[in-house]
Amino acid sequence: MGGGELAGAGGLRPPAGAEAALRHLAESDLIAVVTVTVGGITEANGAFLRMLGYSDEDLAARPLGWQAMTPPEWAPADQAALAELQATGICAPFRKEYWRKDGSRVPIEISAVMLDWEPLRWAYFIRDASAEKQAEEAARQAAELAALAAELSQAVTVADVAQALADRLRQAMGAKLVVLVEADPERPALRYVNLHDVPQELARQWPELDATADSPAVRAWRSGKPVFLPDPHTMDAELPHLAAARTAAGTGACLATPLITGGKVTGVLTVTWPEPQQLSPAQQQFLATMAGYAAQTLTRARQFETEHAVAHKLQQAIISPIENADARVEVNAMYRPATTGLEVGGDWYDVLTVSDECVALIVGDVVGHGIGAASVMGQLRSALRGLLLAGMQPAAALEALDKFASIVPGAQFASCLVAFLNAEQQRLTVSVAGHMPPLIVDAHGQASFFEDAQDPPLGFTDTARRTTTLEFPRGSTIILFTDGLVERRGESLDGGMEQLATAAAEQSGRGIGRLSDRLIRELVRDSFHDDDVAIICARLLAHDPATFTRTAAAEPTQVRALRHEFADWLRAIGAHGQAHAELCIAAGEALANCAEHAYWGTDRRSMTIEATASNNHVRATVRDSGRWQPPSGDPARGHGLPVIRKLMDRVQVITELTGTTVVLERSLGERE
Amino acid sequence: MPGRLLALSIEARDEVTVLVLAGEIDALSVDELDGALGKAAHRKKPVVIDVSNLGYIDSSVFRAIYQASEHLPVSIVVAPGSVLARTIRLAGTSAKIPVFPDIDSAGAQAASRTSAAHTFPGG
Repeated sequence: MGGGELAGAGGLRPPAGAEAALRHLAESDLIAVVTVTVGGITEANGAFLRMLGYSDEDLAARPLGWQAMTPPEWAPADQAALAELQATGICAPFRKEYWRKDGSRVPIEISAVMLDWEPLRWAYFIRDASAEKQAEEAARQAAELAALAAELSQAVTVADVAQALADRLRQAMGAKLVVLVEADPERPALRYVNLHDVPQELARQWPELDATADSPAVRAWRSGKPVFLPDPHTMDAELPHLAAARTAAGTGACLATPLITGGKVTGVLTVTWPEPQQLSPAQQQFLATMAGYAAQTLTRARQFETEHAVAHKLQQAIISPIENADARVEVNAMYRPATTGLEVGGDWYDVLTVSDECVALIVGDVVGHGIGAASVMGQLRSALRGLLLAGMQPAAALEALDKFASIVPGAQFASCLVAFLNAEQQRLTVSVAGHMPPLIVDAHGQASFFEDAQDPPLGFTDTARRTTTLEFPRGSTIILFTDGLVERRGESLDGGMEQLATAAAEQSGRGIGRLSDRLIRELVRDSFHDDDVAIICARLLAHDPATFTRTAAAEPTQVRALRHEFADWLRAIGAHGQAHAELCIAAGEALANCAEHAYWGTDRRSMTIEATASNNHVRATVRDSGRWQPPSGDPARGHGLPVIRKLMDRVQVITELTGTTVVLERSLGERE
Repeated sequence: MPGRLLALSIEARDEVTVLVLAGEIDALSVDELDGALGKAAHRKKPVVIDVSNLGYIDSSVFRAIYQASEHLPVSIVVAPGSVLARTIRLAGTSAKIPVFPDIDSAGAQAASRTSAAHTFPGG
């Protein structure tokens, strides 16, 4: 009972004849009327019993506790109502819910008058408010559908679709579990789309749903019709083998709706509730509409993901390893694809040695996205390589590329930047075709963008291109990038560029591999970035690097010999402790792999280890010229690779038809 | 055989077999370790492998130790905080094979496990 004093004990008393009037009203059955004491309902009319699914016998058998009939979230409202009743003798109408006998809920409007103060006895007048609730519900559902449609139009991946659906159904319908499954196009089975939402015991029992699994989803899939199980009793009768799992999961009702696209069932949306449900026709319509939206969007998202994957494969095939032969120049290049997949395909980088003195650094960006853009990118990249390897200078090469781009559909307006880094003369020669300016950080950490020499983008044969030459003293770093690094939706480009300059200045003391890692990490912070990014960081070393090169036959005794020589060289350049031991282990593993796997079944050939040390950082490259067997084998050959990945700062394995290269990088400091 | 860099001693104690390794183990010398582990297996006692004095190990050692541990209880002794201890930890070996700071504590632990349990029906 509420803690209220019986403040109104002397107050409003029912007038004479009130009981008779009440009885008359109750017997008319126009409205549900009950009389109640603290112990429970003592009298109830037919309208009340019908509303809640009880019979006269139920009432006769035991007093119905009004508190037990009230879902717990309404208890505070009840307390307030009782306090009001005690204070004033009446309680104004308010809305709450009752549990029906079958466990479902009925929305009601309830009011009360006090009949007796000593002992407490009062009457409730209860009206079924389902109709209003339904009208409100319909309005809310219309809003929910609009919101879902808006969200689905943004959804790119199938995971996005599942997430949007689950959010909306939980919010709009109090759903507990929302499981989306897709029909496997290859064989008769259903796969979970949002596995992380699937309870573990369910996923363990059925890693996927095939014809042998009898569940609401499978029934809906095979029949093409919704399967609705409104309460535990029905569920356990229909699917007795699931009764234990259902009880454990606390499922009170379940609806499986087939997703139909082009006349075929492409998936099933299963929704469960913790309590029994009586779905009104409006609610069923609502769910069917949601499922319809989901079906269309899911098909679109699946197609999109396939295209996205193809474009990525294409891009990876086109972007090849850095070719820098000059040990005085440290270069690192990275490509990071867009996670949303919207913007895949147009960016590229390239690093190639064009003469004894010069390494060419190139970044570019093709307009548009997807497979088309990736293939145009590949053509431009190859053409430019050819022109530069033929000995052309940056501006001349870009002018020739203009002619090429003018005849390749989709290549016009591509942007590109070519920089020749001449280590001997400590100079940069730069030509820019409508591309983001490069950032130059000097040996003292001063960062500035090089914004001169900005000429139009590619593809117009009348462009006369300029080349600018600038001093690039030892210790300087140049950073070339595509716009994905600095562009943020809703923010100014200047802001992104300023952020890049600040980050580059702060991080300029790091090794070049770490620098590009850090820049991407700091600038492309959100895991959900919608543009791809290509970046090249190149540094002219302040001092000539210490180098080490050995080649030997790829066999175990030579592995040991090279390892020992490498250990001696490391000691000579000042490596000790952990750094020394771990570089030895990593190089030893990589060399052992050459001997063990590279020439399987063919003539043994050679293996090479090359290492450079600068800035307290070692980069070692172990290369063999053989093909692994089987040729398409897992690049993570040997059990040693997982270990060396942990010991090194960076490990790259580059597999090509001509051989395999393992690049190991580690700072000479102690690491955790 | 060129460059015998591995020194290996095997000692049969009452409760355990102790292998002490020194020098370097790689693909060339791991056969010796395999051989010693094979001999130790005949004794059906837990094996304690002291790697504290090794200057170099590679993944062939981890492979050998895992294989041995499938047949009999194996523990590793390595100086705590050493470069080697870190490598063993990073290699994930210490998650599967118990690691101890010295032979005596490894031996005591192995002996207590044997007496308490059923690892060897005959032991």
